[in-house]
Amino acid sequence: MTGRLALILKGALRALVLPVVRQAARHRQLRRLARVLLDRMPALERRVRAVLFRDAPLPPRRMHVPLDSDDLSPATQALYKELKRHFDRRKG
Amino acid sequence: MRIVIDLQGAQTASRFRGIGRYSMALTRGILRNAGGHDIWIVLNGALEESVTQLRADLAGLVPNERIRVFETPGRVAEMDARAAPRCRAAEMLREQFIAMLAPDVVLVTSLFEGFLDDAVGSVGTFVDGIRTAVVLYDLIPLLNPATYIGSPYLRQCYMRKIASLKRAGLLLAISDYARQEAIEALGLQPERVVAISTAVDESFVPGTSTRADMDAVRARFGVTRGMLLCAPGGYDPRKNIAGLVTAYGLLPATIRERYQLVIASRIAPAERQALLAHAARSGMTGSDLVLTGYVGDADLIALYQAADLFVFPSLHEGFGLPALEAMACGTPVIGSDSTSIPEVIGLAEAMFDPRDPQAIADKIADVLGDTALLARLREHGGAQAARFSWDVTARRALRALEAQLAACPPPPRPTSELCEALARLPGLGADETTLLQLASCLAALPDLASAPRLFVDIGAVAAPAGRASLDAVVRRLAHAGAQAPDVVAVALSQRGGVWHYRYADGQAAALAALPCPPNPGRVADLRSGDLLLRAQADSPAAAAASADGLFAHLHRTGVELHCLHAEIPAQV
Repeated sequence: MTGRLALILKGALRALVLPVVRQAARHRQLRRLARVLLDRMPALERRVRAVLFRDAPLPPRRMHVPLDSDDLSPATQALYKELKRHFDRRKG
Repeated sequence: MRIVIDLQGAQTASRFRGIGRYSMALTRGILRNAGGHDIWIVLNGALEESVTQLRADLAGLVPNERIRVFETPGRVAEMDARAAPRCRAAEMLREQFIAMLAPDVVLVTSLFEGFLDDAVGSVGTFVDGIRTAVVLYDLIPLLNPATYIGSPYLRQCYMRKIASLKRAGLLLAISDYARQEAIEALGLQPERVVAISTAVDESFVPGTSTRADMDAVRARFGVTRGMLLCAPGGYDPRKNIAGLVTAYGLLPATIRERYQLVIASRIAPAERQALLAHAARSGMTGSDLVLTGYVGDADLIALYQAADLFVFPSLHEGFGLPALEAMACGTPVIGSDSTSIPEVIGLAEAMFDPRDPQAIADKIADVLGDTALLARLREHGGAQAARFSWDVTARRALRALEAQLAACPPPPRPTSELCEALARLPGLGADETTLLQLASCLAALPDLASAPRLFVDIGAVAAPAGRASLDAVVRRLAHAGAQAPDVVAVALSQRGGVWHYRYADGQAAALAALPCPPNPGRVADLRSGDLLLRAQADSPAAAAASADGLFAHLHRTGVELHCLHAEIPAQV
């Protein structure tokens, strides 16, 4: 019973704290403060990094992909249509 | 036999570490010893900056058309949990890409990449992994999860790699110890794991540094006495540097007065402070401990050669390359009797218990007080190091790969099945951008049956000199016995800020006296092996496309680019 309660409390704590940490991590000064703290407490680094990284979307990569399916070569467009058919079926 | 080597291990941040060096040295060894085997290389186009470098590094060793580059559908680094569905899609696309190169066997030089970068590594998620061999360096995170894979998400990513590892038909372990560890920890059949060993770079030899070089490196790092050197190959708790510092503190004062302890490794500021505090607690003073920070190969070799004794106290290694490097440089080496290190050092009287600082101190004192033992260690080290070579490792790998041929070959699956599997991936968006990226990745799958085409930028041949140059290129191709390629007229243009070569319209093609392509205005599919005769870089469109990275992208993909003007391209 105690173990179950601890699990529930842990889950609730995560649900409350993680959004706050993620929101805080958006602010540059707090990120700098976090870096200073991490320098002093390296053991925390992996755990905190995991939280920060999960909130930091990767910058998009510049890809040379057409922006419109009508712009694709016929061969690529055929593949696009086949993919779309499968994805539409998934939605349906 | 066609061997396809996935060389992403030499593309990620690992290329600056042991895994990258291992990947490149093994690949070069395989190329030297390949005999009649065809070696193909697969690279990841998302790791852009390394593709050009690797093409240059492998020039002359692998024909350009046998270096193939797969594309990923956007960013796939797993540290962003939202990239996970794209990463799963990229895994399937990569497996299909390799299968379409019709390999007899596939060699993956490093599977455990892709958390912080866009590397893609998997086995058996879409194509059967029976003919895939993976180099296994160690299973240290699996065996020490609290230290290395503490966060649940990181653990989940790591365990997915372990599942892939288990699906591989063959593991090539870098030591006998790593082999045994894999058999026990993963519950594999012994015949599925082969030890191929490793070796040191040829630059690690004795006597290459002059006395002046060694004095210079000693002066630079503040070494004024004899040197007890440890170059752990990375700073990590398992490297047991704290244990070595404790052991130094237990040495007799006469030895400490004559020798400094030098740690040659990159070390973070916080860890440096902690180690200095530990050294002070262990009774070390001022110059007893020297922390060099990161040292390059040249300095490392000079340090090895200048050291009186190399001490390797690591608790867990997959191989223990620094010990072998030091022996190859003619330095007496003592080391820990744990995991793979006894196999590397190969001499019982050079071993100590790394968990007992007193045992480390006793061994150091014994060796430094016995000139005959020092000489024996030096002599043994040279002979032991000579037993390891990249050619031997490569031949072992080749023999193991040849034996793998007995298994059934998995053919590539139809592209329609791949489309279906991609659509089934949970969480993979069906938005336009994702579909366009996926379709482009599918279009980039290799087609070995298609002949290379000659794409001609109409901007380049509009002038009479350009036309004459093109005619000369075509004549030269015919003269070289090559089948006359299909000539396709293309033109540079941009939409939405993205530059592409598009099929030229009839009028423009006619002006350049080229046949009209069938789909004017659509983006042209330029593939690996195709030739592109492009406009000079000083034309406005070419300059803008170049700034957009189009030519760099085409070059990475394997398209041969030639600037067309009055001068005939020499390479054609």
